[in-house]
Amino acid sequence: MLELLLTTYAFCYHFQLDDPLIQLVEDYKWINFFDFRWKLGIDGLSLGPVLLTGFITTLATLAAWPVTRDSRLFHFLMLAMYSGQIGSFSSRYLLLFFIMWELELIPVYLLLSMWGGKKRLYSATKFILYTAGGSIFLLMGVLGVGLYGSNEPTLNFETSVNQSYPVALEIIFYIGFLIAFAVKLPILPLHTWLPDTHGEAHYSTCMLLAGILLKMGVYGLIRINMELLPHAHSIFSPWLMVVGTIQIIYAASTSLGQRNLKKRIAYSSVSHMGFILIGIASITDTGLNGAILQIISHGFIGAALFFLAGTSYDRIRLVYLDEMGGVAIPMPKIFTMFSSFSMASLALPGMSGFVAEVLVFLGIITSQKYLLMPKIAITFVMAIGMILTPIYLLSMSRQIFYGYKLFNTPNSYVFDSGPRELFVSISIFIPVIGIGM
Amino acid sequence: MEQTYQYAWIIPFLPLPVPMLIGLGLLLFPTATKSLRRMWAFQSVLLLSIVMIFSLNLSIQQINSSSVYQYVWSWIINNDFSLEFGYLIDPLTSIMSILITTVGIMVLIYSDNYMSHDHGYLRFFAYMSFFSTSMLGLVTSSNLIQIYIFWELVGMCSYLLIGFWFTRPVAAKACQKAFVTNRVGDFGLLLGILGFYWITGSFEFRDLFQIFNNLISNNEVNSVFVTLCAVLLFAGAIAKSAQFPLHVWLPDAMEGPTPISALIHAATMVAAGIFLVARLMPLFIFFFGATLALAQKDIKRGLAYSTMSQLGYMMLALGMGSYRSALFHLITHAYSKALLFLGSGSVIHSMETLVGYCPKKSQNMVLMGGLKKHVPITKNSFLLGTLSLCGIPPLACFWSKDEILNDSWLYSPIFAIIAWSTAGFTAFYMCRIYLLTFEGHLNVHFQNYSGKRNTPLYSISLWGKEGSKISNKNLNFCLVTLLKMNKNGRPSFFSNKVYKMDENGRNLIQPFLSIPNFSNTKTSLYPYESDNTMLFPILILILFTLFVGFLGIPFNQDVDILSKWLTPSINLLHQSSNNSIDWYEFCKDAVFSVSIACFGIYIAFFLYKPVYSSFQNLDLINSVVKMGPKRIFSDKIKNAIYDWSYNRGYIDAFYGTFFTAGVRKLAEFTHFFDRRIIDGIPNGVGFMSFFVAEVIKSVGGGRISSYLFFYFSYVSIFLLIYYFLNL
Repeated sequence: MLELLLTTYAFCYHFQLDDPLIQLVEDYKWINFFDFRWKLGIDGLSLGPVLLTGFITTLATLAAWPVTRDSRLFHFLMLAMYSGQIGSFSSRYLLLFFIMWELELIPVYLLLSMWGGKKRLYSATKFILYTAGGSIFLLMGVLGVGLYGSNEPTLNFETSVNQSYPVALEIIFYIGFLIAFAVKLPILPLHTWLPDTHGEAHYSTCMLLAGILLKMGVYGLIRINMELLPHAHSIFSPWLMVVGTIQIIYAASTSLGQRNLKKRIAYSSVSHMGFILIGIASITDTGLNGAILQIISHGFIGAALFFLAGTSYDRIRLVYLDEMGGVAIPMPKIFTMFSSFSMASLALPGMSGFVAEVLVFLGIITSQKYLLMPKIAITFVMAIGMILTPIYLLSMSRQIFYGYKLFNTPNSYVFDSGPRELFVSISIFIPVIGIGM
Repeated sequence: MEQTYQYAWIIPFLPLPVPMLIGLGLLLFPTATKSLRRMWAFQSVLLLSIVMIFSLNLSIQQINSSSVYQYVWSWIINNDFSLEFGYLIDPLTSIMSILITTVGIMVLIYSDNYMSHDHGYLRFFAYMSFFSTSMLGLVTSSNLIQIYIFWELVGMCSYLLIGFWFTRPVAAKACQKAFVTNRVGDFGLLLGILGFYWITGSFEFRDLFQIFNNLISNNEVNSVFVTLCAVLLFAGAIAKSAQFPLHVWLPDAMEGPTPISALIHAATMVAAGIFLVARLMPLFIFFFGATLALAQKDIKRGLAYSTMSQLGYMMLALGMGSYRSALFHLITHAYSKALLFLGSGSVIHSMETLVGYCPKKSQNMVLMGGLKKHVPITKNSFLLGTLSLCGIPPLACFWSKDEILNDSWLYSPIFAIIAWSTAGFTAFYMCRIYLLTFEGHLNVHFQNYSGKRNTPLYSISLWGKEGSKISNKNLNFCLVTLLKMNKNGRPSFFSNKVYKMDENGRNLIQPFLSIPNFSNTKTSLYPYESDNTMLFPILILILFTLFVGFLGIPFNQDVDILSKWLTPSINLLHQSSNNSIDWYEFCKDAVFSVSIACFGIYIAFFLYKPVYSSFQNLDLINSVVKMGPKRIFSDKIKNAIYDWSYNRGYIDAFYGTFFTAGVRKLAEFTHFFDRRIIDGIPNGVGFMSFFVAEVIKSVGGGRISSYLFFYFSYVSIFLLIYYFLNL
C-alpha cells in the first residue's frame, strides 16, 4: 500500500516539475499500422486538470486509508483510474483519447460494485450503461473525424484542428461528441447516473468521481467540441447556454428535495456543472477562463464535500438528513471544515468558486454573440440559482450539525476527526483559498 | 501625510491575522489555544485600536485638506479585461471606519466579560475580528466588485455570528434565514453591478460616475434598463439594512449573543446598506423618486422595529438628497444603538444569574422591572440611549433627526408628517422598554416565568379592559405558583454579597420566595451590576452619545465640522448644498419634534408608570406581546397599529407559505420528475432489455430445427427483396 502511495506521489511530483513546459510532447510510434501514435502532451488547458488529478488522487488514496477489505485491489484500481484520467487529459491523439476514456471506466465500475453501499450493483450497472452508451457516440465521432476527407486516417489533434468540414457533417459530429460528453459532464437529461453512483460509492471513490471524472467531460467538450468543431459550437452554444441555466435551477431545486446527504451533494455538483456549461457556451475568453477555473475549484470543493460527508457518515451511520442533527458539539472540526467548504461551494468571495462564477458572469455580459434580452434573462436565472445554492447547502449543514441531540448510545462512534482527515481537508482548503485570492 | 495614505491599505487587513490565527489554533491545537484565551482577546482589541487610531488620523487629515486618495493595483489581467483592486479614501470612508472601529472596540471589550463563561469564547472573538475586517474592507473598497466581495463576507460573518449558539434550533433557523435573505439582496446587487458594468464598462466608482454622467448628458442610455439596474442595486442595500420587503431576518437575528446584536444592528452591518447607497449616490440621484416611495413604506412598516425605522429615516434622507443629514443620523444612531444594546446586554447578563442561562427567560422583559436600584450605571446609560433615540435635545440623535425632519418638511409635507409621527412612536416604544425594564418592581419573584404562557399571546394584544379578566387569572395562577415554588424552592434568605436587600416598596411576600436556579451556581436574589470591563465601554459610548451631536451643530452659521468633512462628497453630487439654517426655523422645528417626542414619552409613562399596584403592572406586562428588550413588537394603541404589528407576522407568514413552501414544492416536484421520468426512462429501457432478452432466450432454445427455420426464412426474404429490386 505504501508503495502505491509513493508511486502516486512520484507521479504527482513528476508532473509538477514538468509543468512549466508548455508542450510536453511524448511521441512514440505505437502501432505502425495506420500510423497510430502514443502521443502525450500538456498545454495550458490540460495543465490544470492534470494537476488536479494528481492532487485529488493523492488525497483520495489517503482518504481511503480505512478501507480494509481488499485494500490492495482498491488502491490498484484507484491508480488505474488515475492513469486513465491523466492519459485522457494529456493525450494529443484522438484515438488514444478514446482508449484512455474507455480504460478509465473499468476501474470505476469495479470500485463501485465492490466497495459500494446497499444498492451498489444497481448504480454500477447504471453507470456503466450510461457511460458506455455515451462512448458509442464518442467512438463514432472519433472515427468520423479521423476518416473524413482523406484515405489516411488523421487522428492527430494538430492536423484535425485545421480541418474544416461541411456544416451538416460538422453538426452531426458535434451532436455525437456532445452526447458522449454530456453523459460524463453530466448535462441535464443524462445526469441521473451521477446521484446514484455518488450515493452508493465509497467516499474516496466519490472524491475521484466528483473531482475528476466529471471534469473529463468538460475537458472533452472544450478540447474537441470547441477546438475541432468551432462552427458547430457557435451554432449550438445558445442551446448549451439555455440547457446550462435550466440545469442550474433544476439541479439546485432537486438537491433541495433529496434526503440522502451524498445525493444532495451530488446534485449540487450537477448544478455547478451548469455554470461550466454556460462559461463554455459564452464563447468569450473570460467565460472560458471562468469555466476552466470552475473545473478546478469544483474539483477541490466537490471532492472535499464528499470526503467530509463520508467521514461524518462513518461516524454517525446515518444517511438521511432528517435523522441527523446536533453533531456539531462532538465533532467541531468536521463542522468547521464542512461549513467552510459549503461556503466555498456557494461561491463566497475569497474562495475559488466565487472567482469562477464572476468570470462566467462577466463572460456572458461581455459576450458579443447574444442579444440584450436573452443575456439579461440568462443572467437573471443564473442569479436565481445563486439564491438556491445557499438554501440547500446551508439547510444541509444545519440539518447535520446544528441543533442538539443526546447520544445515548454508550459506545457511539462519534468522535472528532483525526489528524489524517484534518490534513486531507486542510490541504484541499488551501488551494481553494489560494485560487480565490 | 502622503505616507499615511499610502499605508491606508492596512486598515482592513490589520484585524485579519487574529481570526486566522485563532481559527488555525482551534483547529490544530485546541487545548493549547483555549488555555490562552485572554491573550487572543487582547490581541484583537489591540489591533482594532491601532486601526482606530489610524483612521482617526486619516479623518483629521480629511477635515483639514479634504482630498480623495485612491490607490489601485491590478488583480486579474486578461487580454480583454482587467480587474483592479485598491482602496479609496474619502470622507465617507474615514467616517465609516471610525464608526466601525470605535463600536467594534467597545463591543470587543464588552464581550470579553459577557462571553467569558461561554465555550466558544475564542470562536466568538475570531468571528468578531473577521466581521470588523470585512466591514472595514467594505468601506475602503474602491470598486464595485470589491464591494461585492466584502459585502458577501459581511453576510457570511453575520451568518456565523447569528448562528453562534448553534445548538439551538431557533438560532440555526435564524442564521440560515439571515443568510438567504441577504443572499437575495446580493443577487440584486450582483445583477445591478453587472448591469452597470455592461453600460459603462467599468467597475471603478469614479470612472463609473464620469462615464455615466457623460452618457446621461448624451442621452445614450436606455433609461428603463438603467432604472432596473439601480433598483437591483438598491435591493442589495435593502436586504442588508433590513428594509421593507427583506427585513424579516433582522428580528430573528436576535438569536445571537447580545454583543453581536449590538454590532450588527448598530454599528455596522445594517449601516452597510446605507453606506452603499451613499457611495453610489450619483447613480441613484436620478431615480430618487422611486427610492422615496420605498423609503416611505419602510418607515411605515418598520415602525415596529426601532432600528428599521431609524434606517428608514436614513433612507428617507438619502432619497431626498440630503446626504449629509443621513450620514449624520447614521453616526448618531449607531452610537446610541450600540449603547442601548450593550446596556440591555448588561441587563441580561445580570438577569442570567437570576433566572439561569436560558435566553427565553433572561431576555424576557416580563421578568424585568425595578432594576433601577440594582444596576444604576446600566440604568442611567440605558436612559441616556433611550432619550437620545427619542430625540431629546442635548443628546446626539436629536440633532440629526431634527435635520432630517427639517429637510423632509422642505421636501414634501406628507413625508414630513410621516416622519414626525414616527418620531413620536419611536419615543413611545423606547420609553416603554425603558420603563418596563428598570422601573417598577422586579417581576421575577412574582411570577413563574411563563415563556409558554406568553408565546400564545405573542401577537395578540390584550390590554386595558380586555385584559382585566386575564389579570385575575394571572393573579391566581401566580399565587398558586408562588406557593408551589415556596415548597420546592431553596431557602431564600441568601442574598448576594455585594448588594443588600432593600425592601422599600417591595411586597412582603418577596423575601420568602426564591426560584430554583438551573444551571448556575451563584444564587442571588437580586441582579447585580456587571463587571467593570462591561461598564467601561458603556460609559465611553455614553460620552459618544453625548457629544457626537455637537459635530453637526452649525456653530458659525453654516460651517460645521461635518459638512466641512463631507464637502468633497457633496461636490461629487453636483449639488449646491444649502446649509444655511435659519435659527428661527431651526428652533421652531426643534420645538415641534421635541414636543412630539415628549408626547410619546408621556403616553408611555401614562401607560406603564408603575404607580399602580404591582399586580396591575404585571397584568399589563403579561398581556402585552412577548418581547425581549431587543425583540421589539410595537405596542398597540390603536387599531391601526394593531394592523401594522400584525403585518410583521403577516409578512413572515407570507414568506413562509409562499416562498419556503414554494421552494419545497418545487424541490419535491423536481425530485419526483427526476425519479420518475428522467430516471424512469433508462430504468424502463433496462427493464425492456430484460424482457427482450427473455424473448430471445426462449427463441434461441437450442433447437437446431428452429435455427434452420429462421435461417431459411431470412434468406428467402432477402432473396425476395433482391428479386423485387432487380425487377
